[in-house]
Amino acid sequence: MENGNVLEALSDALAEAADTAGRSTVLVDARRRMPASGVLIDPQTVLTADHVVEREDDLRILLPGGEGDTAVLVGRDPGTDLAVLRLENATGVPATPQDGAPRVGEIVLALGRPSDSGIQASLGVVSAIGGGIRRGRRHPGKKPAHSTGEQFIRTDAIPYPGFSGGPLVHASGRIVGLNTSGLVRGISLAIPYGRALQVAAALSEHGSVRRGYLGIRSQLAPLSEGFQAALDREQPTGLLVIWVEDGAAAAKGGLIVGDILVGFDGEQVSDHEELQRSILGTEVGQTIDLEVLRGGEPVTMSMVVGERPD
Amino acid sequence: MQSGKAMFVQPSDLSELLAGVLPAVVAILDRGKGLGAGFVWKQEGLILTNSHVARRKKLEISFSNGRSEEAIVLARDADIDLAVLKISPADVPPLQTADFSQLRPGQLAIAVGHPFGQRNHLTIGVLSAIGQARINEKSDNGFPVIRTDLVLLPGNSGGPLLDARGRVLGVNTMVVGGDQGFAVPAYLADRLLEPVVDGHARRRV
Repeated sequence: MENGNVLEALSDALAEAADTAGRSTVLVDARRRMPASGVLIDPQTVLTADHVVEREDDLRILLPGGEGDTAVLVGRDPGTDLAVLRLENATGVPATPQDGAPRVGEIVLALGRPSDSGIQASLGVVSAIGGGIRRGRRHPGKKPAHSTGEQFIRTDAIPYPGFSGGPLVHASGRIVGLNTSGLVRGISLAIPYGRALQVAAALSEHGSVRRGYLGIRSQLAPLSEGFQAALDREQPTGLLVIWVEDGAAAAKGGLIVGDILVGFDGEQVSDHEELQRSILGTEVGQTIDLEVLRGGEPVTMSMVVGERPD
Repeated sequence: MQSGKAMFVQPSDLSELLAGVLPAVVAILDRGKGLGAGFVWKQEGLILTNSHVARRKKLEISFSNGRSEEAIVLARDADIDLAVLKISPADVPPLQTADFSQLRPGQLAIAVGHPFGQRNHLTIGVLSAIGQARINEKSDNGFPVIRTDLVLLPGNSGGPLLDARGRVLGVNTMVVGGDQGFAVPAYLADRLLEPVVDGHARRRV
């Protein structure tokens, strides 16, 4: 790059990123309105947003090279707003995931392929990473995303019509997330790509996603210096168990109301988000160790993770 | 760019770009009232802007250094919303033009204009796509437009859409749905210029 400045380098990198990730971004025609987008996670598997798949047959995919094909629905998960489709004949170039978790402030491009005239792009940054957002009555009858404990990437990139199911891309061209819920109260949401791939694997294997469940309700509780001394670590808060569901995983494992939950499989648990994340990382049927304070003394108890009821 | 290498956009990169193009960016006024933006284009003394900004035969051109000139409308084409104006002291060099065939979705796109009368406002985003548009319902053919994710406001009309080197991609033209900026590729204005250079202005309204 001769006489180049950083602005030109950034511009070239973004165009290159759109081109690279665009080669794995397909058009998904599975609803009455305009088509949406999807990402190839392997040569024949397309990951897209659940809400753009309005019918279960006659699913049409347009590949970046212009080749068209039909696809079959493998599985769908409204909780993360993801669906997996499989191409019947054609093959494409799978996307490259970005290593590590997305970081707040990173420059990203939202991409979409809602028409046959090429890849489309929109610029933004990762604004926040956090729990889902209440969708109010916009999707009556659908389980709101916030209740599943899933983490979302929020960006200020404008999701144009048909960008749902398309990738959120790092300046390197690697994929950071999948654009899912579109515009919810002015905020655009994407599911972190690593989690999206986990869901895709579960959908490919079982056709649905089984989420771990303990069967407790808890509230944030400060830990006194005495409690922290008993734990032999600095941890200002834990979760006070205020309800245990009869017959569910936690009850079977011996957890009782009044216990203060402070650890999960060796990881510190100091708020609800950390607990949600820990549970999300487990499989139904897996044995885990909970660390609790009972009467001021640390106790570790094992239990088998149950399945979250619908 | 090598991936993984940290990159920082210095504030000076954008301000240098702005400083480089500002002498050629103008505000277009009618009896002191701001109508939009424009820029020196193709040759000294020629101003390119939107057709809907240049509805009067004579307009006032205000440069960023405070200088004011009177301009006449040489040619207008409402179908593509472009107009070419002429001013007599031809001493400001035109902006460079980017090669339209080299445009890529994702590349930076920078608009300079006067939204709500704020002079020389810079907005940065990316090129979303090359699309087709038809401004005049009566015209037969659509024409290519540059779609960006820039939020354009009244006063951006007629101003330049630039690439990262400060070269003109197009003329910022209108806002559709509030969140998508449209620009008419600057090369389309060549068809207005052809009659101009041999001395016969074409007026289409």
